[in-house]
Amino acid sequence: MQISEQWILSRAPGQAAAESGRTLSEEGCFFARMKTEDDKTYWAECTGSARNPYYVSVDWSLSDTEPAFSCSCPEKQSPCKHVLGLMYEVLAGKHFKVGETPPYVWRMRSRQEAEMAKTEARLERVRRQSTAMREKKLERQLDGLEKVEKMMSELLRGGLGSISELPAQSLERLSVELGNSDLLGARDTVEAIAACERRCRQEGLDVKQCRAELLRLLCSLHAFTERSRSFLSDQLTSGRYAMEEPVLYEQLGGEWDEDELREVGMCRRNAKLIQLSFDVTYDEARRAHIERGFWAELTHGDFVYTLNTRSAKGGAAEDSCFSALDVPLLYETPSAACPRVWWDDDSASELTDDDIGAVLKLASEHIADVVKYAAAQLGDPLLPGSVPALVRVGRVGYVEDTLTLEDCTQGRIALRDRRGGGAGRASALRLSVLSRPPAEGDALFGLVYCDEDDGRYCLQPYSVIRKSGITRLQF
Amino acid sequence: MKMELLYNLRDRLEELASAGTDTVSEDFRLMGAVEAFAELASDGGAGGRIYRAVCAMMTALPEERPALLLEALDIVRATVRENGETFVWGDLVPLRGGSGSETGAPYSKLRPLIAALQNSGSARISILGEYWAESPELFGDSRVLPYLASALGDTHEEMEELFAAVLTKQGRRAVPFLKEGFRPDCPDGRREMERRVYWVARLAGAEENKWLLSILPKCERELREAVIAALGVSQDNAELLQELYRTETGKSRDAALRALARMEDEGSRALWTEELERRPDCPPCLEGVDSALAADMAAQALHSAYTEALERGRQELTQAEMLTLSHTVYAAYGKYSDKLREEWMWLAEHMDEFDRLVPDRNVKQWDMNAAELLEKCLMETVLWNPSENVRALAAELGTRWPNRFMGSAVLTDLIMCPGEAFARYGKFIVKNGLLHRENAVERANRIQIMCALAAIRNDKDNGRHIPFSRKDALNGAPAGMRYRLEQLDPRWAETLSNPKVNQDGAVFDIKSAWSMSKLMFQMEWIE
Repeated sequence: MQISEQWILSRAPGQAAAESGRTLSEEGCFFARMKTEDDKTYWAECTGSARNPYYVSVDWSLSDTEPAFSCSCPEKQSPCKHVLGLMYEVLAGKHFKVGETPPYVWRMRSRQEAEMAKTEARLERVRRQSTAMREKKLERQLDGLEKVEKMMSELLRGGLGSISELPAQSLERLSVELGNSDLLGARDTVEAIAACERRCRQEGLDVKQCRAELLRLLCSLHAFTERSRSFLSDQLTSGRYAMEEPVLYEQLGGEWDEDELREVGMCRRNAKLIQLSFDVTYDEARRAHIERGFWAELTHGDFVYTLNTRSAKGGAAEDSCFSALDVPLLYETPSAACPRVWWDDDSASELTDDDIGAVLKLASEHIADVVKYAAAQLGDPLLPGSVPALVRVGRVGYVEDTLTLEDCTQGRIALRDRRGGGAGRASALRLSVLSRPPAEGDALFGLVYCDEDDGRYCLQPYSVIRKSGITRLQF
Repeated sequence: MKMELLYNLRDRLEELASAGTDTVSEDFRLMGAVEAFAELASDGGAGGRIYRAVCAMMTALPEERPALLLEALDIVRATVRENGETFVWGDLVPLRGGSGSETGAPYSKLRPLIAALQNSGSARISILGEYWAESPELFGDSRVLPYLASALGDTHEEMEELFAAVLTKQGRRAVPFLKEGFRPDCPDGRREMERRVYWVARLAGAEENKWLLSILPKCERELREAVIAALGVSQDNAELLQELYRTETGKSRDAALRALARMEDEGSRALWTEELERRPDCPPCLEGVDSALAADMAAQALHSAYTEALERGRQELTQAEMLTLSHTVYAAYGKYSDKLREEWMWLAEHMDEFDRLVPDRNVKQWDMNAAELLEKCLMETVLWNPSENVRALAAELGTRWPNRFMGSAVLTDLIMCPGEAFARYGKFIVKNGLLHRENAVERANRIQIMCALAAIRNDKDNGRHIPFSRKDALNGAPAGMRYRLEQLDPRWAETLSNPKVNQDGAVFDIKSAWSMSKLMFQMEWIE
C-alpha cells in the first residue's frame, strides 16, 4: 500500500476537501491514532464542531488500491475531510499505536464486503446471460485496436508529413470501423486527426504548424490503445466490472445504467445546483456542438458538469441557467475531479444571497493548492485537459502584458484562454474589459490547464462570482 | 531539472515524429540532445525515465519505435507539466473598469445571432437585420463582439452597412475584440483582417498607433496595404509614410500616399504636390480623406485637370479623359479649404465652358458633362460635410450661379434649416400662370431644386427623412448615418403635387439631370 500526496489528491472529491483535510492534520486535530499490525487499517478520533469527536478509519484490508473509508461525521461527501486528514496523518509518518480493529471498522468492512458480494452476484448474472455476445464484442474491439496501432505505426514511421499521402478518406473509413467496433474514444481521436489533416491541407499549412496538435492526439490514442488492450483482455478473462476505469468504460461504448449507478452509490440525493458557467464548442471532427454546463453542487460542496452533444444539423440544445435547481436524484459518472452529472427531475427557484454566499465559500484561498490538485488530475491523457476551479480574488490586473490573478496570499496565476477555441473563447479579454473588474473578496471560476507551449499553468476565466451575482464570461 | 535540456529533447523528438522514426539512425541532432540529457539520467526520477525511454526507442526494431516514441513523448509531456510554472513575476497593475457590456442574456437568446454571424450567405442578412432592429444591445455584448469581428470578411454590401452601423455605435468598446482575433498569417481571412485593421484605426485613431506599427512587419499584400493606409491616424507616422512611399510598390505605395494626405507636415505636402504633377492618377488617393492637405491637393488636381481639358481644344472627352476627370472630381467630395474655395470660384466662372466638354459618343459610362460633374460634386460635399464653411460656399455659389448651384444651396437649407428652405426656394418650382412657358433659367432653377429634393430619402421605419449620399465605402457608413432631418416641410410635397409644377425634365429626365444618379436619387419621400 503506497500513499502519496498525489494519491490523496486524486481521491479527494474536491480541492477544498483536500485542503481542509490537510489543515485538520496540521492543526493536530487527530488523537488516539491506531493501526493494525499489518499496516492495512488505520483509525483515529478527530475533534470536530460537535461536542464528541468523530471516529475515522481507512481500511486497505480488502483492496490495496481502493481502501474503504468511514467517518461518523454528518458530511455527505466521501471521502470527507476527516478521512482525508487521516490519510495526511499517515503520509506525515505520525505515530500510530498498534491495536485491535475496533467494532465500527468491522461493521464498515462487513458493509463493504456485502456490497462487493452484491455487485459480484449481479455481474455473475450478467456474465452468464451474455458471455458469448460480450466475447464477440471484445474480439471486435481488440481487432479494432490493432488497426489503430497499425495506422499510428505507419504514420510515425513515414513521418507526420506523410499524413496527406495516406489513401484518401482512409482515416474517415477507419473512424467508421472503430465506431462500429464500439471503440468510441479511438473513433473520436481518429476523427480529430482527420479534421486536423483536412485543416492543414485546406489552409495550406505546413505540417509543423499542426504537429503539436497531431502529436497530442496520437499520444492520447496510444494511451487509449494501451489501456484498452489491458482492460479488454482483463474483461475477457475475468469479466470484472468496469467501475474502476470509468473513462475507458465510456470510450469503449459502455453506457451507464442508472439502476447500477444507484446500486453502487454513484448518485446524490437532494442535490442543489447553481450554474456557474456554460460553454459551447464546435467539434469539427464530430460535426457537433459540445455544450457544457459547470455547476456548484452545494449539498456536497463540489463542482460538477453537464454535457450535451448537439449535431450541427440540429437537436435539443442546453441553455444557461440562472436559477438554483433542487434535484432529488442526481446521477454522476465515477470520476474524482468534477464528475459529469445528469438528472431527470428538478425544481427551480430564484438564486438567493445565501446561495451565492454558499458558492463563495467553496472558493479556494490559495492558487498553489488549486494548481497542485489540478496537476494531479491532468496526468491522465484520456481525461479533459482542464480542471474546474474556483479561487478567491485578491487582485486581478496586468503584470506587463500578462493578465494575472493574485490570491489573498500573493499567489499568482496567468489568466489565459486555451488555444483553438475560436471566437468564443475570448474569456480573458472579456474579463479585462468588464465595466466592474473583480475585486477582493469576489471569486473567479475557470478552468485550470497546462499550456504546453511554455509549460505554464494557467486559468481560463469563465465567470466572476460576487455577492451581487454571477457575471458570465462565457454563456 | 534543467528545463532547457528537456525542451530541447522534446523538440527533437517532435522533429523525429515529423521526419519519421525510420530516420532515427541519421538524426544526429536527436543524438546530441540525448547525450546532453544523459547528465540528468542519474537522478533516478523523471530524468532517468525519460533517458531510458528515449534510448529504448532509438535502439528498438523499426516496427517498435513508433509506440516507444509516443511513450517517451508522453513522459516528457508529463514532466513538463509536473515542472510547470505558475507564478507570474513582476509588478501587478490592477484592472480598472473597462467599457465591456454584459447584457446577461442567456445562450438561447444569443445562439441565433451568433449562428448568423458565423454562417455565410444572404439568409443571415435578414436575421441580423431583425436582431439589430429589435435587440441592438446584444451586438455590444462582449460575448457577441468576437463573432462580429470574425464576420467582417463578408462582402455583401448590406452586411458592410450593418457592421458599420454596429461598430460605429460600439465605438472604442469594440477595439479590443477587433485586435484580439487579428492573425496576419490567416490565408482565408485576409479581407476580415483588413477590415479589423480599418475599424481599429477608425474607432481608436492614434491611440492604437503602437499596435498598427507592431503588426506592419508581419503583414503582406492587401493586408499590408490596409495597415499602411491606417497609419494615417497619427501625425507621428509622417516620416515613416514618406519612407514607405519611396520603398513600397503598387497598391501599398498608393496606400502610403493616401495616408500621407492626412498628414500636416511640410514634407508630406511637398511630396504630394510633386506627385500630383508627376502622376495624373493620384487623386483617387484623396477620396474620403478629410484634411487640409487633402483639400488643397484636391483643389490643385481640379485646377490641373480642368485646365488641361480646356487646353486640349476638343470638346469630346475620351474614356480615359473622363476617367481622370471624374476621379479628380470624386477626390474633392466632402472637402473644404481656403484654397479649394478659391478653386470653386474659378470653376464656377468657367462652367459654361465646361458644359461643352462632353463624353465622346462611344463612351457609355458617363452621360454627365464636365460641368455637371462639378454640380454633383458640390451637392455631395454638402451631404458629406455640412460645416459652416461648406454651407457658406454653397450659399454663395447658389446665389451667384443659381442655374448651376442653387441645388446645393437648397440642400444646405433643407438639412440645416428646413423651415426656411421652402420659404426661400419653394416659389422657384411653381409656374407663374397656367399658360406661362418655362424659360431656360426657370427650368434650370427648377431642375436644381428637384435634384436637391431627390437627395432626401424617406426613412419610413423611423418616421423621419434622411439625406442620402453615395455610400462612403471608405468611411463605412452612408451620410444618412451622420445626421438626419426629423420631418421635411410638408409644403414641399403639397407643392410638388400641384399641377402648376412641371415634373418633366426633373430627375427622371436623362438629359437634364444626373442620370447616373437617377437610380440613387429617387424621390421616395413623396408618398
